[in-house]
Amino acid sequence: MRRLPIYFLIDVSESMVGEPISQVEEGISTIIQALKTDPTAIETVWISIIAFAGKAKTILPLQDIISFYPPKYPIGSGTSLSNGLQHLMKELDSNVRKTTPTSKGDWKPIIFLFTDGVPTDNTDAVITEWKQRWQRSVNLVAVSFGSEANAGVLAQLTEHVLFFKNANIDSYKYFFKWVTASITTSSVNIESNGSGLELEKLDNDWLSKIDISKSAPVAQLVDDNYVVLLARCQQSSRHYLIKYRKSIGNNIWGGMNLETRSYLQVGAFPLKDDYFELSDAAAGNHKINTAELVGAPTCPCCSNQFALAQCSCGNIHCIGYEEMNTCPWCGKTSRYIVVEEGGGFDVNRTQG
Amino acid sequence: MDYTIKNRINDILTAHISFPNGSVNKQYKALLDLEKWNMADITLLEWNGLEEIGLVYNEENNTIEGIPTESGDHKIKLVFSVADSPKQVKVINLIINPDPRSMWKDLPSDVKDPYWKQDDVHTAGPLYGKHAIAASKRGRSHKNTGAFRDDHFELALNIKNNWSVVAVADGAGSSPFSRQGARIACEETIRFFQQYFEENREQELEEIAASDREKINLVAGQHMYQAIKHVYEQINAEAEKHAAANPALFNDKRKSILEYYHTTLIFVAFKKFDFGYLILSFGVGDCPIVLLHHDEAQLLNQLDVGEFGGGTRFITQPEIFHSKEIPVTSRFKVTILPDFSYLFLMTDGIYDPKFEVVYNLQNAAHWQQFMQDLDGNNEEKVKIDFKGDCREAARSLFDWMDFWSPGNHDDRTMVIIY
Repeated sequence: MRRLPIYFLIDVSESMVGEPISQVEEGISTIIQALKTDPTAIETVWISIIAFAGKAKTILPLQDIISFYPPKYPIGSGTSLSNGLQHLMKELDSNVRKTTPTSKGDWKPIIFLFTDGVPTDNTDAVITEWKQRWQRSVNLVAVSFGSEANAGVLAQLTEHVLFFKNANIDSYKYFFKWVTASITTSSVNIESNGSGLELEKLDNDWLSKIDISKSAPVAQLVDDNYVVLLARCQQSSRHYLIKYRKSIGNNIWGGMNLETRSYLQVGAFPLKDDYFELSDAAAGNHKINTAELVGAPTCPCCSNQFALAQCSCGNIHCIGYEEMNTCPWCGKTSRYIVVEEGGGFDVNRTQG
Repeated sequence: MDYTIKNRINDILTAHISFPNGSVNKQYKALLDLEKWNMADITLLEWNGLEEIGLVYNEENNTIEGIPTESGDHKIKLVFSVADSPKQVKVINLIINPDPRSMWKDLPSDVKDPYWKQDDVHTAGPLYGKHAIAASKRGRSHKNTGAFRDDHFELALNIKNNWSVVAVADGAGSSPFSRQGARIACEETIRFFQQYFEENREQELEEIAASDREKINLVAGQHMYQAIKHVYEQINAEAEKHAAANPALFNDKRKSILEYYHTTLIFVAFKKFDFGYLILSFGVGDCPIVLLHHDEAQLLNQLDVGEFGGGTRFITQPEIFHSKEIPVTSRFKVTILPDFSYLFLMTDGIYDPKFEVVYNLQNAAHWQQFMQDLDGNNEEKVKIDFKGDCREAARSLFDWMDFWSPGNHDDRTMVIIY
């Protein structure tokens, strides 16, 4: 039997924490459910899911959709597109069958790459390798979840670069319906046209094709769309993330139109141990001033009121109303003060 | 609540546990292993959402079991508590798969279409000392959308002095009129040879057949070349005629009008002589011609299979005639042998599910298995009796073709000379 391998290469960097990752999880499940109503797809489509942040990991090995069970989606630090693509190529090498006298070749694989940020590493070498080895043998659809800014990098990988404006739950539903329709059409038409990829028409503002001729590659080591802080609960010693989303406001000042950048609080999310498994150990030291951050959440692990306190060791943890606190990172007990309004202090941010 | 209990509850709620997938109307049983899930500390209170899908929680055996009635991704709820905490609800996915066989539709093809052809056909006939049976069936994928059968075959048995010709073609799914391309390819192969015998051109072959192998290869190749050139020209003529009359139907600018008729073609022309059989064969595309004698299987054509699926070639591609990579002469073959047991011509609708790869087509053990399959060793217990009446055998072949093979839903065509 000829299989149609579909790979999802999913960015699970910190900025995906919270709603985006649960929407992706939900979305992939609805894709599978919908494919199961199509008799051609149910017999042809095989699915694999690879998650990447600072590092990459196969969270669902290639399997038919009858055996599919939703995997656990991890979160990690960084957006190493290089590691994601390297891992993808390794998976393609070992799983995609080419026609030989003794084995039946697969249909041309389709890869959906979802990323919500700019790569935090240099992708030149891996893109060269991708072009040489796989670009012509697969169909890759790259979808930018966060901004159009990273289209330049994605455009080097494929001509199919899309921008998904993840404004609300309806847009996610629309998006995954579009992916499903593209897979179903491809699985039906693949036997006829051989190349296989039949992307559905885009008839909504939520999803649009990026004009790749207009975007230039960007070199950036930190994803600018979000600020995500890694913190630790003082009481339970558990890790959590505090997430802020970029907001650009307009100020008219002295007749000049000034753009001001700030980051609005999205929430705080407890982490599981696999966070460090996918995180890039070589992450750099990047800072943000708290004056740019609007809002402070409570600790998601205990009842402490403030999730964002910084110890003199530089790490972030939660505190209550007590004056004396013990840092769960370095173990030092000291007196904490509240930064006065308007002031701020630099804290370490994650890359993703 | 104490934060340690809060964290513990949170851990349980987010823990990834998975239940095996079930199937509609098939017995289901899943063991709850709380220890393995690292949840031995919970007080299991109840399950919600099982009965709606035909399942129950069996407290005694600690299983979820029953015969699922509803397919889908069901969210079942485990109500639990930890250390006397208030009731907590953990949502778990329970996936029940539909029965894929029940989803295929059988929509009729449009009999008013000018290129309509019968969905399913079978035929049989005696040959000098042998028999021929043939059947062709519209595939599931075509039934599902009400599309036409793209495969075709034609037999011309005992045209002249024990010469017979068999042609089989498989129209490309992506070409709107490939069913007609396949029909013309087969019919015009036969027409060419009828004219050929009328002009007594076979005599040139017969005169050199027994003596000079090299010369017969050369001459037979020339004759076959004329046959395929004739086929190509006839399809091209039909394409031009149809496009002139219905230009709106040919609106894909990326395609030449001939591409609307893309089809593969294999044929054999053969005769029994005193010294044995002379078999001329030709093939373009991924349909095999295989000669079976005792335990040996010989592939009489080179298959055009791409690196990935769908990379085949068609008689409607002009480059076939002047390809440097695959010279057209390499597509012709002359076989002379005292006798044979079976000669098979088939489309990929049979080849894919039953042989998978070219290697198996030449593998004696695989053929043994295939012959046992034809002999009734199959799920449906359909047996082809090669010793009985050939019309009955053709009928059995027709029934045999209904075998179920996941992922293989193309048209099926096979001709057997035995």
